Amino acid sequence: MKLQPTSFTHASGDRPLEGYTIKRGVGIGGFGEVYFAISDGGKEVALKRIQRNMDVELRGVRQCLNLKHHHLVDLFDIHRDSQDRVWVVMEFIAGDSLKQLLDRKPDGLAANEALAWMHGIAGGVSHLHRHGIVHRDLKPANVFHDNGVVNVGDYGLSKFISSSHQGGQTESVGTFHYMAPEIGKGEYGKPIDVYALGIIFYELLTGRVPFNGESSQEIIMKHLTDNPDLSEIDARFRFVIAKALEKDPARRFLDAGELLQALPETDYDAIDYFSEPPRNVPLSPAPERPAASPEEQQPAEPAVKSKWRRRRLIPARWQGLARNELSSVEGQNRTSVLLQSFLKSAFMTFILTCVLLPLGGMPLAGQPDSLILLAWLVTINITACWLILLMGRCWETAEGDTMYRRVISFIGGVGLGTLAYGAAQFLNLSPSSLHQLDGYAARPWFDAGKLTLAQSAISYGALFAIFRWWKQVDPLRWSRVSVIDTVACGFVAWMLPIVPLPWGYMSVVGISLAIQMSSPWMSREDRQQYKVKARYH
Amino acid sequence: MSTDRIPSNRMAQLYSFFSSNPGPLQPAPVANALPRRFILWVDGVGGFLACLNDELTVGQADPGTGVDIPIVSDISRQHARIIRRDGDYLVEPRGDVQLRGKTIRQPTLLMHNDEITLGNDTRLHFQRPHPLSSTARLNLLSPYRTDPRSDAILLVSQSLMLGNNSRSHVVCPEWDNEMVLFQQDQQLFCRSKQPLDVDGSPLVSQLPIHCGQQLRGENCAVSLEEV
Repeated sequence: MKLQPTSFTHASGDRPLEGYTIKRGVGIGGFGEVYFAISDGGKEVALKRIQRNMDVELRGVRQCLNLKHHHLVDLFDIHRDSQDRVWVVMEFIAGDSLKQLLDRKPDGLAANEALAWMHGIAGGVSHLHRHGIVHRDLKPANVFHDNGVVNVGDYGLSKFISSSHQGGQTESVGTFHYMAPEIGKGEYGKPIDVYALGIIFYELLTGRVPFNGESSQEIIMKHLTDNPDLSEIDARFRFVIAKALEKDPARRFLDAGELLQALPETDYDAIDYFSEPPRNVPLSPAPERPAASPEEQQPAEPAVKSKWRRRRLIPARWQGLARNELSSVEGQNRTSVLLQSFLKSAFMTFILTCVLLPLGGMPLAGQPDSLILLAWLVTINITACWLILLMGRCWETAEGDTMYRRVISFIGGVGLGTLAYGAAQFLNLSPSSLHQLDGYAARPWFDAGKLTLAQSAISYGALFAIFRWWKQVDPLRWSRVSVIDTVACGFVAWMLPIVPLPWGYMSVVGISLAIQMSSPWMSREDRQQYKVKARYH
Repeated sequence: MSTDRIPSNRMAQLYSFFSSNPGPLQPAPVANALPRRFILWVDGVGGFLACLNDELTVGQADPGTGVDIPIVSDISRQHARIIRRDGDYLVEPRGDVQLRGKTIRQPTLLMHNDEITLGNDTRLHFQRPHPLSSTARLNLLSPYRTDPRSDAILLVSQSLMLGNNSRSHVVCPEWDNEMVLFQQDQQLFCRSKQPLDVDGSPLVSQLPIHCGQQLRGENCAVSLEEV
């Protein structure tokens, strides 16, 4: 609601709508004139006349008519007057708009005040988002406070946009300073509200908008290309603002609720401003408003949740969410991811085998069969990698029963052992050349350097069953490559009497490194997103 | 008085209200006298309860008790009196009244930016924004309201200034010109540098304005409503 008292159509005392007497004009916004009026029964209300009276706008208001939230201006009703103009009857907010407050504070608000405002605004907007409504015109002039309660207004005309007809509206709305870059392309999803929230947060903290310019073109260009200067922003809030102001809507918070959860907690009572309005500002009482239900309040006031409870609940929940999303990946994409990691792992296994074997004390050349031996080993190791990667991709979509997975792994290992034996026979690797690897001799389990089918199958089967290999290729694993895991695998393999030395345990180390490096991993940022989402859901 | 006689210097302009001012063309008929209280509705700014009397009672809003400044809060019906004497304001306690944090028992002089607490937590902020006018303004600081609702209470002495100047009694940030309302012989007159309409016909500064009328300029509108 901009303060432009220029052209109010109605004067004090007018009764354009049966039952309401207009007292004064309040403001003129993009959507129409707003008046302060009193009903015949004595109720103080704000009357908004919808200027264009388009069906789409009316539909938008109707969608919002029965929304109730502590941080949203209440809409009471919609009426048509005798001239068929549409009026929205809503709660009258006596306090200042955030714009008026910021006009008085050119350097921005204290961090705690700004945070309290953000909690209120994001709380109201997240309620809209949860109902599939995008505000589309978030700016300080549309945010009010009434005795310390933050109220988001003007949402009734924000038009109901479900994800299905996103982009259907081509009309440009909003003030340029708060307009997300994708609005130019006609995209009006929730991310534009998230972007506007980021701009508002920045403005609350610094008193300035991050992207400013002489002309609307200049501002739009900065939205499209400039990165916000976050050097002045409190380190606690940088992540939130940076993420909200991402150019790519897909990289922002999914919605206002997620942004809300990423905000540090605030204590409303600790903030003087909200209990004591600024000097020289007329103040009026808060209208009675329905108490929000606990479910509604929860996201707006995260402080009521115990920290202990949250910490305990989150790890499992965020992983569950992430796995859900993984399971919704289409088969085609899954296959291409798998093939990519196949290629990478093959390359890396080759390199690692060539590097690790000499480290383990086995020369790569000098013996007549050395190259054939190397080829055999590399082939088997690559096959092992692929087997693990395949199982990992199949099992990443859910937490499964460990015993079951071990059994499947064992069967896979036995198959691989059989394959290794067959390949050795095919390549005509004589027992003597295998013996040259001197691993068999060092292990009493191997009978005088001979490798039998049973030994090969059991060795590989055991190696597959002992380690939970799928954990090393899980996209949700803690770090991309865990050296500790790799060393532990190598050590256990070295201890096992059924693994030949040195190439057996060196192969295990090589495979472990290769699969970790080649399989997809969820970055910390993505991880954070899921955690945030888990708290919110 | 024609508009070209108004000096451009505002101080002088203001001073003219308090000195020999050309009177209205006709003597005011007493029947049409200004009510002692009215609400000034200013488009885009707010509603203001204007009180003209020199002595005003402050108390709990309760229809029929005749309180000048009725506040919907837990205070007595006659909790205090605000008295204007020789251009100064005094607050006279009738109930529990604190001024600058101390309980007062005697009529006490009010200073610019004083805070008056009635009862537990009904807080009023006293201002005399303009040094040349003895008109004062009371803002309600606590979450209570006057009945009828107003954004502030104006204790109108002789002149009332509305404009974008921070010293105006009613600050209208978007206005280009100042509007001055002044009372003389129990009548209210209006003056402004910009042309104004009164209910559709051009304002004649010598003619009094009445409740129920709307003053309208290019970017401003003010209405008076009797309470």
